[in-house]
Amino acid sequence: MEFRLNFYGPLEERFGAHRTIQLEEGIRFSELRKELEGAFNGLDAYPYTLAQDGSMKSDEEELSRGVIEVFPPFSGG
Amino acid sequence: MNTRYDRHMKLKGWSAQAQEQLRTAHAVVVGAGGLGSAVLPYLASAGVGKITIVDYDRVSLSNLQRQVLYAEEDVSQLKVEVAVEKLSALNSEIELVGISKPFEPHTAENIVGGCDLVIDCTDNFRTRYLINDACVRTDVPFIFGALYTYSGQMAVCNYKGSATYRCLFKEPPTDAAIPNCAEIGVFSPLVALIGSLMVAEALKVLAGLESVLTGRLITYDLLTHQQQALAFKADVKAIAQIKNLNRIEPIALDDCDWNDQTLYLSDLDTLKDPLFIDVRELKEVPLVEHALVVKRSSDQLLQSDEQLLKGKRPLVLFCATGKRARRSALKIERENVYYLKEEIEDFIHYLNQMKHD
Repeated sequence: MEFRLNFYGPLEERFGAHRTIQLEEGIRFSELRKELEGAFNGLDAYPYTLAQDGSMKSDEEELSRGVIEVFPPFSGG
Repeated sequence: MNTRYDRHMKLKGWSAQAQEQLRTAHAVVVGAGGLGSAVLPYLASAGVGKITIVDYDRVSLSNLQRQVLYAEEDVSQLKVEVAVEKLSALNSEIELVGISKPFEPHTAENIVGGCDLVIDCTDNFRTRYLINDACVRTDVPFIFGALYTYSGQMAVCNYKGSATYRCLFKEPPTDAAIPNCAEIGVFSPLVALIGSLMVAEALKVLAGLESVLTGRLITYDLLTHQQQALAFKADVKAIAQIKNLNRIEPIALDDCDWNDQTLYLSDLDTLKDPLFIDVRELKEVPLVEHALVVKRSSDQLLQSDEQLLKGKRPLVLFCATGKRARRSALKIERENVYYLKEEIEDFIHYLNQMKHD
């Protein structure tokens, strides 16, 4: 099924604020990382954390329906 | 209790006990730049009894757009010294300690150990992960804030067993994939917004209020006014790993742009007969033409037969912001090689003044 992705910060600049991707529901977030890094060339150069439904997700958790948020760390201060 | 804190005392949920807790509290603020400028005055004015400020940097003209603690007359002065002076004028009842050195692995735990809260206002990942690790190992809560152009992040970490920065971003960056303010700019009101969120949580932690935001990453985009509060959990294994290390290990990425080769404009007059080397690309503007300036690429400087490297004349590398000059200076194995950590416009102004003197 189609999932909406929201990118932030430098990832938004590189890939756009909103994108979509075809994924199977129920895959683990560790697999999601591989799918994303295959689909978006250069994403693996960045550290990032993934969130869904208002919560950051660990690699072991499973993807559910809803928007996937991709957050990189910021360094400015 | 004097009337200075009357408007806090009148707040529902505040109390004489809360104010007394602030009076006896010790906060360490690492970084006195944009976020530090927003955080420090409110900590001082609220009556936090002891504030330690850690920053090695000096005030530059390009800081004044957002670092509102400083004025034109402070350019070239150590930020820590200016901050201590201005905050003392704001509240003479509190103790202010300035440390004008980088926050390093061998001193980190001594600086934060025993304090009540650390506020991370830094602009680089190396120091951010050091603060995380030092606070985890000494059991001190900390609040981090970070900026990217028009967007900011902040969270309270390691507070009563809550998650840490490494729980949020497990893998530190391995290279400079995420640029900082000097490279991509920052919207000045963002430092006030994120700094205000940070100091609000700081006062709640230090005064012992119950409504501290824990386990949530706050993000804010000032272009769209989109705000999010994302839950994140403590990674018990990652926390234990940091606690069990024999000593703090800095992350591999060295994006803290200070070492003993760093020079500011105010240091240049101490050098005898320096030669300035422009390491920018050939066509980069503004052009810098001066009798003491030569142009060499980083690759040329690393050639063993490069004549400029012969002898002991002090060499000062410069570029647009100091970033590339620093990378080049680190690679050159020769004494008396420095890099200028200043904006090129400020350096040109310095050279023009030399011509007139």
